[in-house]
Amino acid sequence: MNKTPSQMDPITLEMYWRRLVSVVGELGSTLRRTSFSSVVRDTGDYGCAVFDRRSRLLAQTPDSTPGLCGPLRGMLNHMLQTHSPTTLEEGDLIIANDPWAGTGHHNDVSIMMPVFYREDLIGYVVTCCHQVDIGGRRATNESRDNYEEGLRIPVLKLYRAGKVNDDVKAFISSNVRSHETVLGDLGAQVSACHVGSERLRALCEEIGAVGFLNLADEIVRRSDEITRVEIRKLPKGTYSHESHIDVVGGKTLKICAAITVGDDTIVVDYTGSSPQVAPAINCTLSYTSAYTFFAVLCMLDLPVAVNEGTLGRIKVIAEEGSVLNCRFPAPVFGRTAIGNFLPDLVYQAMAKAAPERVCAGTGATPLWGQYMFGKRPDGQSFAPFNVSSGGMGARATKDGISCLAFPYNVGNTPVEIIESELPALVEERCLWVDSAGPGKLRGGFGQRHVVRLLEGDRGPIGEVLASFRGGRFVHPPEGLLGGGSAPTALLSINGEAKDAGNQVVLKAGDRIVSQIPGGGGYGDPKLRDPKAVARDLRHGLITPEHAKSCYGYSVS
Amino acid sequence: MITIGSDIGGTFTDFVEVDESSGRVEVFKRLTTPHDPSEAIESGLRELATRHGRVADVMVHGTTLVINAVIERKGAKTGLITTKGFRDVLEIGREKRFDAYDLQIEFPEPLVERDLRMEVAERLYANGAVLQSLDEQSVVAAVDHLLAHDCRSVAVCLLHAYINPVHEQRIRDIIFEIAPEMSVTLSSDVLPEMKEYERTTTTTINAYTKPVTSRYLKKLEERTLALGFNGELLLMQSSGGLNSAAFAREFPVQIIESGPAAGTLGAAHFARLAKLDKVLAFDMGGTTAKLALVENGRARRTNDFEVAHVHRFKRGSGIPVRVSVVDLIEIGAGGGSIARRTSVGTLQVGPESSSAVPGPACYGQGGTLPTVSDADLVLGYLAEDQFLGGRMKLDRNAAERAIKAVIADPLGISTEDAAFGIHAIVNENMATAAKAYVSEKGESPNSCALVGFGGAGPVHSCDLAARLGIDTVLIPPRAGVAAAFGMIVAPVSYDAIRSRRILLGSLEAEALTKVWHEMAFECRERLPKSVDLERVEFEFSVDMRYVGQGYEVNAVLDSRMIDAGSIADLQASFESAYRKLYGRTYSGTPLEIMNFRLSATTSRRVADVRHDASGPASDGRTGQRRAFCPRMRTWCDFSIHRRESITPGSEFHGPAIVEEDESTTVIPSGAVATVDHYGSLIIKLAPRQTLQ
Repeated sequence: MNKTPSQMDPITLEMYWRRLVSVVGELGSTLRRTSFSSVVRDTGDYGCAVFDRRSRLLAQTPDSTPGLCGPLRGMLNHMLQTHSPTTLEEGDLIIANDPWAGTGHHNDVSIMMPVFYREDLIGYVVTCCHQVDIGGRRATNESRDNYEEGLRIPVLKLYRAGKVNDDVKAFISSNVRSHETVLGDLGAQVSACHVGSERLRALCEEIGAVGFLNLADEIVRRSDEITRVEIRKLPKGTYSHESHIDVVGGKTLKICAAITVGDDTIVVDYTGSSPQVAPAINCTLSYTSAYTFFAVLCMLDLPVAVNEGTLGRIKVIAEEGSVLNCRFPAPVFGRTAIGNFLPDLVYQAMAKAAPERVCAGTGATPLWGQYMFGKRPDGQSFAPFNVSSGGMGARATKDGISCLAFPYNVGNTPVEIIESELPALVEERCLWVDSAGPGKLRGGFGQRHVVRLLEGDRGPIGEVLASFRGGRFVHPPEGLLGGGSAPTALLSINGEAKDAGNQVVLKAGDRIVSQIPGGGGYGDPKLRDPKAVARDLRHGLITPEHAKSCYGYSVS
Repeated sequence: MITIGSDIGGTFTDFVEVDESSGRVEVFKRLTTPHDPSEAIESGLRELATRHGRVADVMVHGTTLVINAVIERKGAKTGLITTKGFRDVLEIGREKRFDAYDLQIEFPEPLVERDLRMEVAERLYANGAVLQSLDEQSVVAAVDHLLAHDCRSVAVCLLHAYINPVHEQRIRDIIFEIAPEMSVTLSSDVLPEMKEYERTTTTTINAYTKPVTSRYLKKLEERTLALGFNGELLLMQSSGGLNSAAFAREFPVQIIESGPAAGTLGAAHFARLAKLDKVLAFDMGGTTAKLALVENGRARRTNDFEVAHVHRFKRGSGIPVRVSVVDLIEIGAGGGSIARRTSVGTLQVGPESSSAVPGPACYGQGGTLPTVSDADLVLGYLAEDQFLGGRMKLDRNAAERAIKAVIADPLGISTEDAAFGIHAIVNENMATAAKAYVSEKGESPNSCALVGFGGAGPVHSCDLAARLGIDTVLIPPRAGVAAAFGMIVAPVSYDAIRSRRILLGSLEAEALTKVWHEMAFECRERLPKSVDLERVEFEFSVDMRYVGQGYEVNAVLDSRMIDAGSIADLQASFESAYRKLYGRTYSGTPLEIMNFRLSATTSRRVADVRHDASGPASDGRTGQRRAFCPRMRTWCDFSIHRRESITPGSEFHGPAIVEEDESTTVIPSGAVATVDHYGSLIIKLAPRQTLQ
């Protein structure tokens, strides 16, 4: 390595590093607010990132979904393979959506803009947004291959030297539903790219192109160094765990991880996980890697935001053809159903090595949600997606938080909003008693959520097409280090237990009950502070029977 | 007429007295009396009254009582009555993490424990129609339970009560029948707005703080009455408007955070007098800096507000309070912000700050961590013997030692470079936050002027302005008591809201008129009795969004009459607001209304006190000292000026430092400064005075 020592003093570095982080924040907040996709808005399924001219990730939006932790680098490199840097011109904008290169499914469309300062290429801005529609079959896990999942956009120039490529727009437009909205959201991404490129240019006005490269070197070098320091705090060795996931159709999948903490790397090896499956829940390696990076970074608790330097020492291995590294053209639309479980798996494996850095299994995984399509009595159609979360797992020194999204970050919809939109009544949304995994520290509580479709003139016109997401019907959220599991989940329609994932037809008066588990416990329940048990009893969160059987606590 | 503004702060209780007939302005400070804050008020009022042999006619008051009660959990034992199936709304919240990467995340404990959250059998449909009538027996049982558990206050928040309060009102009546002494808060009274979690937290905070506020105001009234004060007592609200003590007693949540609002209004007042129509009010104190956009003398407002954060600067980690507040950002940047070397070898300043004791190293109270004030002293901006009017001597050696040991040596730079690094980074942090804040409002910072106040604000204003591309800086007079002054110039105001989710296309003029009248009636009912209703000005606005989008944009309906044309006007107003924020509109997409708002204000007669020069013109220059010029990045001689000796109209050039008892203004080279006839120091920075 023949590197010149950096000329950047620590004060200038701090100032411009922060500037980069705030630039991506600015782009993200604009995209989030103007997007029509509720997935972008509410689940953070979007990302904005800036790269230097060596395509090193310098900063990315911090509130993006874990699935966006890192894969925009892969997308940028994929784009540059088709349009090499030397062929790029100022004002070019490149579009693509390959799930294997980027974020794991077609709806996420990435747009990249090369940034020029005084005619030199200095870096790239990449934005990625979950589009409301991408053609193909509607949001479903029933597609049989990737071709059924909608428009595959190869690496194309959406703009050439500032001029829009109408052919590309027309092609997209005629292949997606609600094309005005989709083109509008793509337009928002384009504007965000422009703003990002302006900000990078303004930064170069202050520190010059060489200064910018020095800044990039310093960010990456110092982040890499601190990541290594944190990794070295973990005991070296290989730590394994195997988890089971019940998926649609009553099947069980196995995912397993062997995590090797080395001198200055962490290798997460998923070899042995189940082969790819027929339902559209397969993860591409780039997506698996993103969730793994997220899990490891939370655990390392680094003082710096995600960038090239924080990702470089984490390696992810998964066998090709497995559910965590599926082969084209496997269907991938609902890949969160698997990807969401990876942080839990990583923490189960690492519990012995880093007990104070991890949390027990979360009841919020997988994401629970209800899609309902139908007509209101006033003739308006409705198509909301409402999400509910179970409880978070317990931590070394803290109980888990009740009803909290993890690792995705989707909030609920207020009941008053749901009822103003849907011809339905939410009869209950409350903590589910006895649903927290017991432990020295207990999990957060899950929830009981009951919805009934109204009848008569207040009910829906005709049938309601619904699909429910959820899981943990067979395999509950696990405890850690002696902590107990939370109970398994329940989904029922009119009292009859149901599986999640399939489309069902509902009619007026139908009542859907969801019992979403809490989080797993941490440590031996017998060691729990009796005062804490008494408090849960007083609050009616646990029954005397639960207190007795799990904690050996008797009400005197 | 004599008006007194009094603002209770952590350390001092500030008073400003304005006599409109003579134009006399008096400023006064007393140490705050935390055990009973009304004590300091009484002694201050007595002092001011004996000075002039006259008691004030109007007293305007701001207090941190309500927010402190929430933060310190010192409110009344409170119960909650809610719809069956929903006792856990407070605990379930919105189910979102405010920090995606934090596995040790924590949220504030609900103000009402679960065993005091009672469910009653009743149910409304979303349109307010009754599905199940109220089971009064379940109410009686709930109230009995709460009484048995010593609750003093009850919050009532039922689903859809924002559209039909009938069950909530019946519950209130039942409570009063059983327990006439009970303090009761209905969600339909406090916040008739959709979204049950935020409405419940807001209602609960009101209930929790109602008894303590009532006690405090009673004591305050007794004390002032004993002094012979029988004028009107007005309370400063978070919205930047005033309302009666009787209103505050009923709705304490409305006065939850009045200090920042008041300070912003004070800044806006002097900006208006200086004919600056768009300003960024910049208040920098010991621990935080606050920035707010003020246009045409009016601060922007928002309903997106939280209190009692687990992490002070992380949004989402607090308890939401949906009342109207001045829309400002708070940054962990103040004179006491601590500088440290990060684990990646850079320099960071704040958000942690040294508390009053030991305070910055230069306070000489044993502090060893370098702070912004230490850097400002080493750079020559602060004088060792002029701090707080000379009452506190600063220790320059201690400041240098701290910066050298903690920052300069570990980073391998000189102490002076480290000191300027601290100064520059804290300014850059504020500039970054300000840019994001201003651009989210569709504005650009360089179209604003900066109004700097607070203890540390004037030291940092010019460099911050340069970083924002701003060329005009105004430092108002009496910057150390800006909040108390802001109270005096604040208007009286009340804000009504009605949630009605409806497509704009289905809205009929009749419905619009009805909701307008309903809110206008409520405004008139809730404004102080002393207000001349003829002079009340109304601003009608609507929160709207494109169907499918999740963020509402507030569209102001700029018309006195509600008629068939109003609906088209609404669309136009929405589109222009939307375009300003996001640069475009969507022609084919339907619009949806979420909330109607009516804001009623009436301005009080304000003391626009003009001072004409008497005696010989002077620029107040007293000498010079070496200081580090933030523009030239070098040490040079700064002329030193005494603020009160500068006569209106006199002009002087930077590099200069203007000293007064409560603050110090740093003027870089190339800038020109004057004092206007209202006492504001106005600085024009050199063109394109940006960083190199």
